Amino acid sequence: MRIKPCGREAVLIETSSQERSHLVRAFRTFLPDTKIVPAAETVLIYCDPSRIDEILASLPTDLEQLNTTVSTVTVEVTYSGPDLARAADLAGLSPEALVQWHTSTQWHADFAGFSPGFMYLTPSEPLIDFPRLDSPRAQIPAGSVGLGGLFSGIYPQESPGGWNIIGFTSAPLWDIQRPSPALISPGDIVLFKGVL
Amino acid sequence: MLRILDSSTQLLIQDSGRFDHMNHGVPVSGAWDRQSMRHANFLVGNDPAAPVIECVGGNVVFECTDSLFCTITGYRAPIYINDDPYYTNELLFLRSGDRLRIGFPDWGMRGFLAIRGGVHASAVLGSVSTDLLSGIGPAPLVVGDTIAPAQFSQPWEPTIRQLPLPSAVPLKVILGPRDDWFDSATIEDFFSQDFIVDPFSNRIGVRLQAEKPLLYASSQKKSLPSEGVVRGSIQVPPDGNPVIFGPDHPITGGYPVIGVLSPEASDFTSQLTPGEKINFM
Repeated sequence: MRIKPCGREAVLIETSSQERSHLVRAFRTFLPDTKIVPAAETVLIYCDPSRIDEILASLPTDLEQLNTTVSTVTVEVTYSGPDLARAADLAGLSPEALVQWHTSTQWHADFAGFSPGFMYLTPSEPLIDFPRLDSPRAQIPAGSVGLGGLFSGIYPQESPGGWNIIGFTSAPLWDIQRPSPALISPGDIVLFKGVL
Repeated sequence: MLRILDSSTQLLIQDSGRFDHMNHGVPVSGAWDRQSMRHANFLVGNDPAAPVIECVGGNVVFECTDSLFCTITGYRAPIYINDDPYYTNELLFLRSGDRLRIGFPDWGMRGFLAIRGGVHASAVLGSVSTDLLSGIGPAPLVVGDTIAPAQFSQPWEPTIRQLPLPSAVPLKVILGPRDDWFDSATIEDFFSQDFIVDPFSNRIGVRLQAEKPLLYASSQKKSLPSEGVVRGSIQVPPDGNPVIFGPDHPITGGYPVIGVLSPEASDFTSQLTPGEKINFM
């Protein structure tokens, strides 16, 4: 774990993916008022930078006893995305086999991204690191289900993007009218289900 | 209550922002110049983070329909109540029928209008701030809209009626987290050159044109996985022209941040005007 400066109101901690999950769980359980922004290889912590060592030392190292309620969200997907064949090819699979993998593996919602409701989902059975498209699309429709890098994700609203789009869902990822606007929260398990 | 009679500018309701939804990718938003918001609220006897109106530029005209205390801070600009001249950073009292006009700013880019009682608006995700990136929060105000106090205020004898006028704040940088993406000559360039403020700057970020683009060290070939970023971050895309993040910046970013401005300097970036030359220290 390396602590990097990030102005006067935060620090950026570089972590391995395992350390990151542990750190995030510890903060959310024991210091829930501390604002944090987890990402693929880092956790940003809003705090007085001079106190970070003290803060980290105050977190318990053994989290095994922690009971965290985990919700499972099932998302129905029509696997007709324009990059399905490309993604399957990159993984050395038939499109059907890629869909089979996407729907049978458990996806863990790790952290949020560039737009409200967007979650980076990590597979319990990883396949490959999916390269982005050479030319990102200017417009990806809302509900697009994609594969990028080691993650899958669902675009909550129309936006540009470079991920491999393998399907579409009509489930609203973000609805400001709902008491809890986000469909998927960090820590949730996501299961994909193919529909026609 | 104030009714907007004329405005050629952007008027946004802002408070201190939304902090509780970062884990869902929701930007913090909030008043760009937090210091000016606090000063404005102080002058009218409000809580420091009571909602205010953030005005880009001047030339705004309001009609008062119910007497109130108000003030405008942030930029330096002439203010008129009917034909009587006033100025920003002064406590103003308006009577029903009075016309309030904010003139063209003499200095700075954004003004913050506070009314006693705070500006009434519907909160979304715990804040009334208008976030232009994600579209969360009240719509920008337009001609015909009214600005009403959020709460009833007790009768009051203000003791402070004026605050000192603002001036430029040094753009103090705390290097990191990704200053190691640049070699020492480039860091030298970063601190020694002037940057020009691009007109395509907004609450998401202030875009800068570098005389000498800040290119990554040749040893840095891989791309940066997206990571959490804070407002005031100076992010450097591959073309070497930095962007200073404003309040509506996305929660994560994929280009290296060479340094982060001090909180006061970050507030001051709200006052930078297109074409202006700035430098970092």
